[in-house]
Amino acid sequence: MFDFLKKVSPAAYVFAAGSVISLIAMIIAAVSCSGEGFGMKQLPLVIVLSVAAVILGVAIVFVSGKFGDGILSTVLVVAMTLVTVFCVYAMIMGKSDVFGTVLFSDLEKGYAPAERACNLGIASIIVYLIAAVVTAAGGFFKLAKADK
Amino acid sequence: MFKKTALYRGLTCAMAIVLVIMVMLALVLEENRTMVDQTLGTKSQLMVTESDDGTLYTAFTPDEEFLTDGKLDLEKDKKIHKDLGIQISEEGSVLLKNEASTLPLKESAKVTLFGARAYKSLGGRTGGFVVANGLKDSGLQINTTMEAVYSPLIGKFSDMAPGWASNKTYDFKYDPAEISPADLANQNASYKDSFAEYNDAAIVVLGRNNGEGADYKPGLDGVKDGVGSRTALALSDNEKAIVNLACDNFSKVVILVVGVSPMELGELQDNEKVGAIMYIGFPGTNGCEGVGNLLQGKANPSGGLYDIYARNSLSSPAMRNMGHYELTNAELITRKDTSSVGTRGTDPGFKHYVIEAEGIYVGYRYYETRYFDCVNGNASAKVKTDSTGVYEDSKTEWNYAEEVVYSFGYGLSYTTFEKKITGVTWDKTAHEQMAHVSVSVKNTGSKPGKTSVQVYGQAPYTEYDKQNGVEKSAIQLLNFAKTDVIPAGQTVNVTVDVDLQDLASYDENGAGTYIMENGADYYFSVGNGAHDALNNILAAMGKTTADGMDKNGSAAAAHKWTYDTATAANGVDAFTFSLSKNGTKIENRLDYCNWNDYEAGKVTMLSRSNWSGTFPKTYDNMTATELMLKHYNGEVIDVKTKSNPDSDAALATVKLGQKTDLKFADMKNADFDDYRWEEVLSAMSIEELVLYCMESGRGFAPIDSLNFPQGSYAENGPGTPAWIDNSAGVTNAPWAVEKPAGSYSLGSFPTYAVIASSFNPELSKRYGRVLGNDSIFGLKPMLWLPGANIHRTPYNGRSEQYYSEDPVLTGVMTMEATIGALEKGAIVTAKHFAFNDQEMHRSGVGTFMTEQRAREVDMRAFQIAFEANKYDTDEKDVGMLGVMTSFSKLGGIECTVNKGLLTDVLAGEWGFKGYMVSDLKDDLDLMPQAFKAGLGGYDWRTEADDITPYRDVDNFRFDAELLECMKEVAHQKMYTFANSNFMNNVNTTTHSVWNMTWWRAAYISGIVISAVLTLAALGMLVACLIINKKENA
Repeated sequence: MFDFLKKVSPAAYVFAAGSVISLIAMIIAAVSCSGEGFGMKQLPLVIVLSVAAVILGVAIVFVSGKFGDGILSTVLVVAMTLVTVFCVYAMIMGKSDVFGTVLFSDLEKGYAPAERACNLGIASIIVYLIAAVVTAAGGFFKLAKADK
Repeated sequence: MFKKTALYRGLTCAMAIVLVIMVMLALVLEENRTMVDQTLGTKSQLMVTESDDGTLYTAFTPDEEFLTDGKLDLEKDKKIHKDLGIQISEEGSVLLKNEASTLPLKESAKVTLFGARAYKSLGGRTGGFVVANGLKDSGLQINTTMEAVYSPLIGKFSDMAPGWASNKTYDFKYDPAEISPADLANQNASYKDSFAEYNDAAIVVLGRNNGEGADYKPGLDGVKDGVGSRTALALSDNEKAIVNLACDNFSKVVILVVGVSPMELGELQDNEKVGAIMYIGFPGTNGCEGVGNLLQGKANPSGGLYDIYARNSLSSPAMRNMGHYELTNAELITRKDTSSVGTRGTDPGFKHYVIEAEGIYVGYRYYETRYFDCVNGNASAKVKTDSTGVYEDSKTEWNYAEEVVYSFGYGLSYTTFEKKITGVTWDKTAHEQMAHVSVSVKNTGSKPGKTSVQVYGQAPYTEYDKQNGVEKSAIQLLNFAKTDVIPAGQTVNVTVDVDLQDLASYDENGAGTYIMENGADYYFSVGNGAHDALNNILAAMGKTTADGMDKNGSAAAAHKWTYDTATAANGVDAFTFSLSKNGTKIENRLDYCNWNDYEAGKVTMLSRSNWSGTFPKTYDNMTATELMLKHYNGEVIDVKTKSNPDSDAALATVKLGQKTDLKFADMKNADFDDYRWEEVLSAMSIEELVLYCMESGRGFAPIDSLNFPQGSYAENGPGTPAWIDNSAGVTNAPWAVEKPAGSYSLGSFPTYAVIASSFNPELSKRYGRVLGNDSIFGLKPMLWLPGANIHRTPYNGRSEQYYSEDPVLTGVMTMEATIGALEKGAIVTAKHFAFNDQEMHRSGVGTFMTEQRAREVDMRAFQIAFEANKYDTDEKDVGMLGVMTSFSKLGGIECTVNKGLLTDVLAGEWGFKGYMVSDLKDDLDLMPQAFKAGLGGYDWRTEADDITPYRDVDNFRFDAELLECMKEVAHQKMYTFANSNFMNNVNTTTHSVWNMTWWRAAYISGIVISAVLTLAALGMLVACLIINKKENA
């Protein structure tokens, strides 16, 4: 294990961080949908995509450590980025109604459960975006330490 | 090369993010394009007319007063709105107390304003205003030191809206906040030094906010701890301290009361140092200037209260059942609405109920009737058994003076009037039994002034009524008028027409229709409000203070009328009022509106036959019956489905997709019964029919086969907004301004309670007409306003959107606004039909009541507006063209699928021909049932996502009756448009086309650019990987 970690490049930790951030975003998303009446039909999709992002992050670390910086790890990086950004998409679509009623009308302005669902939804989207940016940033680095 | 691989990989990921974000942005924008267009002032779809056949812009034309050289003059429009706002406040503000001529103040008086609400922008979604600014505009000189003291403090002051709502806020505690004298001293220790210069009067502004979606929570439990208020509507310690500060330092103290929920003003009325109290409501953008004019005597108050003001806001019987009551077997309710919007959607309102056991005794009808019975020796009326648990209710005798501070309709003037009934005539036109009440009004004071002529009535409470459970209010408003300014000493004569159905009583248990009682004595009366009018009736009966009256009345202001008809059997006339204005039989239609319809004898309704014995208890922990559960689960009307379809032969009888040369525009001004409608309706494909029926909110669906153009034709009005929102895209009307106005706000008018308090029908009609003109300029033919629900309790947060506790006042004002708007072709869509009596669990709370209560109180307001009897002629049946249903249930049945309510009463008895829209995405899961019940469409906020599950034609195509109902729904909707100013903008060559808005062009460009860059980065990445592989090999 220690030998494996020694082979892993610092970029792998960026992807690990991306996975953790996605996980946090997923938790916030789930909480934002927990209020009765504020469920989101896209939530299962968001959870599946988030879990996929975490798995992809771990896979990048594993693949790049084991096989180096090759095609497979590159595909995984692109996939993780897309999966994370699709979480953003699913969240926006799922929350568009509550955003509309809280932010763009007075319909539920001041209504605490609606504002909570809205604010946490926004927080979740921002955190997912951070995860996507972190993942994309990781792509700029070498995924494996050069063999010495 | 290795480094370049990382570079292109990173770039690929980054560009992919940008690309996906751009695509997401596009989808979100398109799915919300109506809102986006409204917000940004763009137009995604344009109505295009290929050739002008001379019919454009001829349907309805704006009034000349708005135009200069034939075009809209925005400055004139602003002035018209401002002048009307000022006039409404001048006539609708109510002077409640004026001791020792505290008011009027001298012109340009120097005054000191107290209270955070004097300086804070109030009004929220119904239109912001600052009281201090309006008073300054009127010429009053405001204490600048105090303005400076308050200025930094009001930023921290929160004028909290009521927040007791479903889900997580059951424990809501209202904070009746006010800036205390200590806060003022901390800001400026010598602030009192400024009083000497601005000492003509102290004006203290107090009030309560309102808002949609939540109520005030009754009782101590609903108030923030430590603020000193017993209820949310009582004065807090800080408010009392501010009043005392004013009283201690000024010889004249005036209180201005802001808001709609009636506050507990008993302490202020009793406070001898408080010289004057004036109710000003929410005056809107310009109304505060009108208030200032009143304070200085530039205008003379003439308003009367829209609601009764009780000493204890909890004391009415309706307060016993208001709020949060969940069925004990709620787990058996499995219905879920798939909408994701919080206060609708899966809101637990599906599992809740409220028993309106007060029956017809809503608002003043309770207090005044009980008073009448006390005077007349009804022992049960005097027995006080109804402790509210918050106040010291140790007294055992019910006493009107201890219950009521200001009665409904009450209001003072700077002059005095003497009103007498000089005669009553009975006009027995078939189905339109009218009484004409002649009233003489003498200005007995020294100043000119207007006054309202409020005509009340009393129906006798007889043994028949007691036996059959018919309840009768001892006093009820029948109609009203407003005089012009009457010079001092002069007399004018006013005739007020009364629809006698409003005096008749709905006998649901006996005759099953409206009755009057032969040989019995009915009374008409006038007075300064309901209590004064009742005292005048008592005087006509020979009663005096010796009998327990709180004041002797004037018999000359009342008129006894003995009902005498040949159509009565056993003393009860169940024929004359058994037919509606259009000749439809009136009978019990509202099945299962009463809990007792499900479970006989379970609920005891308040009866004046035994006040103390029937005073409502709180009905909590109620268990739904099996049938009620079925209704709560939405199983009300059978619909044939794919698995259980109608026969092919039956389905084949429904004509759709037929060929026709007719276009929608050919139906301009067509009568409802025009023979061509069938041909038009049969031309629609089933897909067009489904979409046209269901999509009817901010955006309306197109019918390509008929050239009905898609567009956004409706404007929602939460309060009394004024706007020009030219989003339909037609800018070549003769009166169009050079540059389209876009979303041009004209602020807001005083809110409905102020309009109601004016008791001036013409003023309401003027309001409607101004909106109608705006509707032409803004190309918004449909206005979702006004609110015609009643104020059942003082605690309803949404009462700001409704006029009054009285159905006749509400109904007449709604009717007048409707007719005013209709004269300019605007489709006024009154809301929320019906029974939106509380916001708690509004998404589907079951409101249980008697049919008498439903008809005589909640529904009467709508009935008056829909029948618009006053304006009907032999040639034309004039009436409201639109209605919005409520989120609530009547009994266990959603209003949207209540056939008895929508089809039998609204369309049948009242003859409604027009467009019925649901409230926002309400009951989407019941759509086929709703179309069968008569509902005409759904208010959508977004264009696509939520429609998808419902637009499948398979949901509709297997039920022949449903399809015919949907054709009728389309008929009603098209008829509505065909008779509105919508027809200004269309002819047979008009159709809708997509428009490339700037935001659409921007996202398309973004998508293309980011896609190209993504592909380029990806290409380079692949190239690098291939090269790397070759190099490694």
